[in-house]
Amino acid sequence: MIVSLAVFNQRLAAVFDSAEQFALYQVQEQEARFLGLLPIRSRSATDMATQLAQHCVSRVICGAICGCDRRLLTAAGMEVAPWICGTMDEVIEALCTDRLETLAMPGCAGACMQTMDAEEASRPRGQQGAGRKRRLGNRAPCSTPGPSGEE
Amino acid sequence: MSFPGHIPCEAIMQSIADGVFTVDRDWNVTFFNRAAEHITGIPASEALGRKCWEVLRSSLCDGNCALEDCIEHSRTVSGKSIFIVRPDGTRVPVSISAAPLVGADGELIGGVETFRDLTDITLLRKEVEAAYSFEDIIGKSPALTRILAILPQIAQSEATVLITGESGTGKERIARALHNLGTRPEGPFTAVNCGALPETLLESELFGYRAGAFTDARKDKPGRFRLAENGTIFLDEIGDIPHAVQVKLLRVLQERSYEPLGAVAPETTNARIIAATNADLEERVREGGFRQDLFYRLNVARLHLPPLRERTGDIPLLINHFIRRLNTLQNKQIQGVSEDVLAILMRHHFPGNIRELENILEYAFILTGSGFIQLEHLPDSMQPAAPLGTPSSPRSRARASLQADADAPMTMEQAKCRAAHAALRRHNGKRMAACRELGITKDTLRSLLSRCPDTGE
Repeated sequence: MIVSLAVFNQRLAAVFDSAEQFALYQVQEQEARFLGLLPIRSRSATDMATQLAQHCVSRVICGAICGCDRRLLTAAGMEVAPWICGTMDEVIEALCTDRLETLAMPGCAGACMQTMDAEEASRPRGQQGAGRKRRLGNRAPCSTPGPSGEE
Repeated sequence: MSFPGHIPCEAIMQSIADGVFTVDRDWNVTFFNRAAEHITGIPASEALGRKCWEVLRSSLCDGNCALEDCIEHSRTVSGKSIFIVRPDGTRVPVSISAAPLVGADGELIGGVETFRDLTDITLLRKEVEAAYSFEDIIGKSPALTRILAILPQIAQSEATVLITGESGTGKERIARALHNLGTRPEGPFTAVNCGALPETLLESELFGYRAGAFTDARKDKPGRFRLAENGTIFLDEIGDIPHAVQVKLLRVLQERSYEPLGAVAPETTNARIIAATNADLEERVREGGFRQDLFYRLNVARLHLPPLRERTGDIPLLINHFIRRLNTLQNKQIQGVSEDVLAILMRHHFPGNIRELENILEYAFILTGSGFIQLEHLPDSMQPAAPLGTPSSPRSRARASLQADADAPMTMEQAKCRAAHAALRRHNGKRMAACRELGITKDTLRSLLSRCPDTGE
């Protein structure tokens, strides 16, 4: 699974759409391998979601995120773990040891930490999965950033 | 004046309606008042001791921190409009101010930031804008409101409309509104700039031609009147069309028929005709440059758009409208214009009207990264004059000289002469335009100029 951290200056960005780069990791069986840094091409949430989808990101870990940006990422097929803070190393370590909730931003432990999947589950039966079906166009084959962060 | 020592400072801070928090030199939150809890949705117990960016979560926290800026440069920041994200995922617009905190010994101990919730103001502004916009036409001035009030009725009629007004006042926008509100909104809206085409081209463009009408006319070409069938044709710069085309256009207006170049039989059209001009058509008729019968045929329903300088109250609404549009087009989050920029724009003469305002804002958008458009983002021609004695460029020197000249003592008669000459210069000697600007009649202007020492007739 490819996990992306929305980062600024070696830490998770305070707000998702003001992040400077996406740090991509391949996470498997509680181990994370750093894939590279992806410079953010555009500040538009739609473009950011498309960029992440192009790199086959399955999970996005970020700081504060507004509801519409979060829904956009979920609609693009990504699971969102929002309201997290800490340095990149702290976040990856917490992720591998399944302790992400310990890095919750102030005022955010609990309800707002729920991933959108959980939110989806709480919807009425007829409406479940409605978000996931709306993808941002056809997904092109995934690309992985090079060692210097170039695509 | 020092703060009385016996007054409990914390109680005052807690009673303030604005959010207040302080940080130490490591950016850890050391104080968080009740209003801050209310605006951010974060209890003080959770905020204290945490990094300020983890608590405030604003659009400035990643790389543009206001606190860092004021601590680094020992200055205060005030009235910066940004947004924060609350734990429920809502964006809250806030206005922040920040200042460095210095201890009794003069040593820097951290910073203080205050923030005010702008949600209500933002909602109110949106409501006001919605109330004063109609078919993408923005304004609340009495002159424009009168036009907007009769626009639906005129649109529903089939009458030919003549829209007059200076360049950049939004004549095409009104024409589009007439089309959209009319009886044939599903039909095409075809705009032709009559002033941009030479006589021969204009004729074939409007009426089309048949194959063989002239060399290289290998197949039939439909004219704009044919393309506007069941819709609207908008003839811009109608005052500039040559006599030969005026005759043909008159026939279209009278009989609804025309002959494409090289055709043997006339064609009919049902397109609604809307014409516009920035010229004084009555004057053109008097001078013989425009047919009187055509003028009367066009002038069935007339809408005169006021220049922007006569509706300065609309400038803030238009600024907000353009900023919102440019933010969407350029994917930016510019919040607005600063107070001093607004003051300059409100005073500006706007010879190019709304188009000029749009161009100024588009230029400022290139130079503004985020936040508010500031004075330095305006074009050079809009910059306020440098203080006397410090002119830096030829343009600013000229401006300073004009300013000095204007400040020199003069009689009322001299001031009137100066204003009349300046208005004529701005309008390239066109007296009618100068009269409109000055709000006087042609006779008054003539009499004034005859009394002026350098133009006395």
